[in-house]
Amino acid sequence: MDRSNFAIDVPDSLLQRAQRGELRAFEQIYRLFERPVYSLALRLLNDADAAREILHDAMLKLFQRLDQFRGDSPFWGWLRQIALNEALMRLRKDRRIEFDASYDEIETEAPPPWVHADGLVLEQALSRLPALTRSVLWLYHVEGYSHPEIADALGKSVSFSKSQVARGTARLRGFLDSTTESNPCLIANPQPT
Amino acid sequence: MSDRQSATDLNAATVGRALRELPLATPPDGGWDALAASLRAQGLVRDTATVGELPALETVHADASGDPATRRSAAARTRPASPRRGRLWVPAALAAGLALLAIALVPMNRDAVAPPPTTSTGSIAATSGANVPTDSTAELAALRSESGRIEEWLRTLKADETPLDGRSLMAATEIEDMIGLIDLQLAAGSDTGSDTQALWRDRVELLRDLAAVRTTYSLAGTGVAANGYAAAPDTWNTL
Repeated sequence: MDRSNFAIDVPDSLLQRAQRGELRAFEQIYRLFERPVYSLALRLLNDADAAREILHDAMLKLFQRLDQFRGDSPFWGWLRQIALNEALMRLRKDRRIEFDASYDEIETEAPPPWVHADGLVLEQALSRLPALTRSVLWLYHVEGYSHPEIADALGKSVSFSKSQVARGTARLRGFLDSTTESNPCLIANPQPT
Repeated sequence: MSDRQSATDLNAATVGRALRELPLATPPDGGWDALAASLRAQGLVRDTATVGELPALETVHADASGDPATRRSAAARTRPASPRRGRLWVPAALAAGLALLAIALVPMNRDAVAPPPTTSTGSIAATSGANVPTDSTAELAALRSESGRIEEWLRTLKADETPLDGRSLMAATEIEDMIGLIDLQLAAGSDTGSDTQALWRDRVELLRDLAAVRTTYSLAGTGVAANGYAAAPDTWNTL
């Protein structure tokens, strides 16, 4: 498992300067993490405006609470949790908590379509997943959260998290199979999201 | 992570890799500017050496080890604009006068902690840079303790409080606002350092001003504190 996009070490001296309220230190931390925070929010919410707001709110909350950070765990993990909480709060607020309740078992010897899929096509397929399913898939595969951690963050069961990973994977495969069959030139004709 | 291994088949492994290889998204421009504005509005920025457009905040930083009176006035300048800002001098002058009166009327225990040298304005002078860290830590602890003690006494006084007159109420409100501003700065800063120490000194000074406003009014009206207790705690430390 690769490390999270957030796994960036922040020098203690930079943190101390930020804890003293130095604007330049704030900016340096912001620049380090703006893309991981924005990407996480964008993947979970599938909404660029909402992701921008999450980036702002999460960073503001981070700096408001910076004096509470004691260094017991990595700084990036703390920031990621703040960003995740903000994004999940937005999902709940927008009532976008739909998830995939169906599961079509796929048994095939063919290589999975994402092996050859273009990044843009994969992003588009990902955006078509229900918000909660997409969130679970992203947190599990990209951010490396365990099923118990995801279940805890979402207020769901561990089996729910596991089922969403399986169903999301199957659904993603279905989307990619159908899009590559029906439209082999997706980059030239991107689908609306 | 056993749950990861058991759930990972060929598909899951490859989809995970494909997802991780997606490029990070780049947020639109202007995000930092908006955040910086929010940080300023909330008073979370205390060092603006790199942003010349914030002279008031810069002054707070520059005066970190200087005269608390200067720091206090600088801190007041960093507050978000409010309708009351223009009449700040009235309660400030009133509070200063009342504080002097309170000092004359109320006996204080000055032996508990030796007072540091004071400036010509009566404010507590900054701790000398030659002080060893343990002295700073002890003074910080003493300031916090004193702050808590005065607050506790004020709470006792408030429990059965007679109303203040208009001018005293205005002075008390202004002082409470200034204490709130200091609390905001303390919340945004670290637990140590000369900034923190100076802020705590200011806080104690303001609490004494607040106590003086309440006590003096009560003494003037009834001869006793509003709740009938002693007019001021007899164990105040002079730091």
